[in-house]
Amino acid sequence: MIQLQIVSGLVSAAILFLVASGLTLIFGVCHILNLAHGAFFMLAGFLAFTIASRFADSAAGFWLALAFAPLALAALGALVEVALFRRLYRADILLQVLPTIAIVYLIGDAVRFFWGLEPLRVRTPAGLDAPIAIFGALFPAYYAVIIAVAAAVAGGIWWIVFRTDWGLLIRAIAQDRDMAAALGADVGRIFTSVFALGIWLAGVGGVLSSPIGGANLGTDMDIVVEAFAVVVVGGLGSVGGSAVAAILIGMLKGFGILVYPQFALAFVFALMALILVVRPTGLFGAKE
Amino acid sequence: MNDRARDEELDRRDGLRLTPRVRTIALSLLCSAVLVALPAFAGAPIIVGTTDTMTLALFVLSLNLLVGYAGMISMGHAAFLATGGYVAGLVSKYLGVSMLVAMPAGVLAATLLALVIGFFSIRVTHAYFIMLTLAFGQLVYTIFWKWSSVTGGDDGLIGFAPPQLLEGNVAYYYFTLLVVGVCVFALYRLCRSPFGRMLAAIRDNPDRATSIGVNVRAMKLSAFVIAGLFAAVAGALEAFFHRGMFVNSAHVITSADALVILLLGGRRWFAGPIAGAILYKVLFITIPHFTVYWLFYLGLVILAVALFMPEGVAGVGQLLKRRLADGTPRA
Repeated sequence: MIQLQIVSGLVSAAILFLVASGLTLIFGVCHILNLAHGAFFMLAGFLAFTIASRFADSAAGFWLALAFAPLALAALGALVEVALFRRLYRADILLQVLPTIAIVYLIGDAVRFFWGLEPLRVRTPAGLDAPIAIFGALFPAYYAVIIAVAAAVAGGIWWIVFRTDWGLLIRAIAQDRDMAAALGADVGRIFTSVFALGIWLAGVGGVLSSPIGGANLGTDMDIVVEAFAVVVVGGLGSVGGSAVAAILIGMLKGFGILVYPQFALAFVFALMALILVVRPTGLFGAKE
Repeated sequence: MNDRARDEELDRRDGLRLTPRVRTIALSLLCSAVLVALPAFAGAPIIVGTTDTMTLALFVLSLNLLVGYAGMISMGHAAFLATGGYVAGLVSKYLGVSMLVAMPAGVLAATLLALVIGFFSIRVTHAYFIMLTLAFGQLVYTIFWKWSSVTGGDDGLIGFAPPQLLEGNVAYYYFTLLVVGVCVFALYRLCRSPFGRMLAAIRDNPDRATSIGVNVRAMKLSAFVIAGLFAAVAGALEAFFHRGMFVNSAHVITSADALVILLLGGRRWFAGPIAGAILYKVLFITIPHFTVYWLFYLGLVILAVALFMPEGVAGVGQLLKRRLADGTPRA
């Protein structure tokens, strides 16, 4: 019984981490609070449905979706950054937040137009719907895939940020944008690439979660609000903090369902509020 | 202050000899006269639409006290709208009291809630304030949504109505006009008072405000509570008008829409939210006539406004006025 909560907590932690790490990267580097992050997540689920159903009978469909849907979204994210947010970096915070709401509306109606109103089921990739034993309890093998992919992505982000030249530039710009620019860093290009990376992460999360929850309208705001909770608890701008907070909140959701099924989500928001009051910068956040 | 001096200068040049004060009074009287006379020549759909627009305008005006005057961008303002409506409805439904008792009860409950949420939220600023208010807002939303044995959950809270005297659309229209009118006047006086100027000082430079002796936290908390109070009045009016309160009223999208309306109308102008609410309602009513994808077009409008007219319709008005006045465009 306990194992069930732990593993389902880890699965939601994995998805939350993927979404929240992109959100926190974009905020940490570009200072944009991207309310549309969940919309990209939702769009990824629908793209996964379309790609996977083209290859209905082969296992390849889902993996193709996992490879290509996030890439398509990353391209879209880069386009949005260049066409829209680049003009708003010097604007006040309201003018930066509202366009992200506009993107929520645009993507929401685009999904309604192309995929309709009904929730769509994405099939678990062939061969992975068989149960396997984790901690002595039975789970769909696919759960292990989600956790593994999220862990690999977390490692990948760590490697990019701390071990590559690109990561060095990202950290420099996050710390002091103007100084980095003065020293010759191409801030615009880094912003675009970070935006694309952040949206790619949302895309991976969206595709991975689609076989469990399906592709649904309305997930756009739900996931982004939960991801905010993760980002706030972990500390705005800290990817490592997001990882810890995602596990914390995933577990809180998993076990909260046992105690008070209707209000599991309320625990999450209560934790977020508590953290903001006792430690406004989150568990691992830098000073404001 | 500078703006006022400039306006007066422009008026003198135009030969109008109208001070801004006289102009404001004249404009308000004109609007009031039109609104009072409206039921005489308008049909039911317009009466209903105008009633909704008035409560919406009050909701957005209350938010602008935070956003425009105090510089605090709340993404959870719907919590107070919803609490005002839900508590008023619940009190009326379960205690069987009249609307005129239930409404103040709803407003009181929401004001207390604003005191609690505000106490925590005003400790942080900028993006953190946005996220904290959003979290509290969704917490309130979750409670109204999931506590279905009391609130009706997805089906909404129904089973209460205004007193017989106010049951008709026109009667309720006049009731709304009266309440909203009083609230708008109160908010206007508040924004023009030393309190409003202190909020603006905090918005522009919190450190300087502190150093000249302004109690920043107390001012911000007062603004938050007052904004919550007026939002609750709007919520209570809405609840009894529609004889029901629905869970969407507490959702983050309701809070976000209020910010959108603020942007459309112009947040640096007291009447901006009113202009925004009218524009939004007109869009809301017309666009669905030729497409179901109206949010898509709303999204495009938001982007256009954010990129090209960040001061909203009010900004365009100011720009035109100045261009006409001295022939030079101003950014």
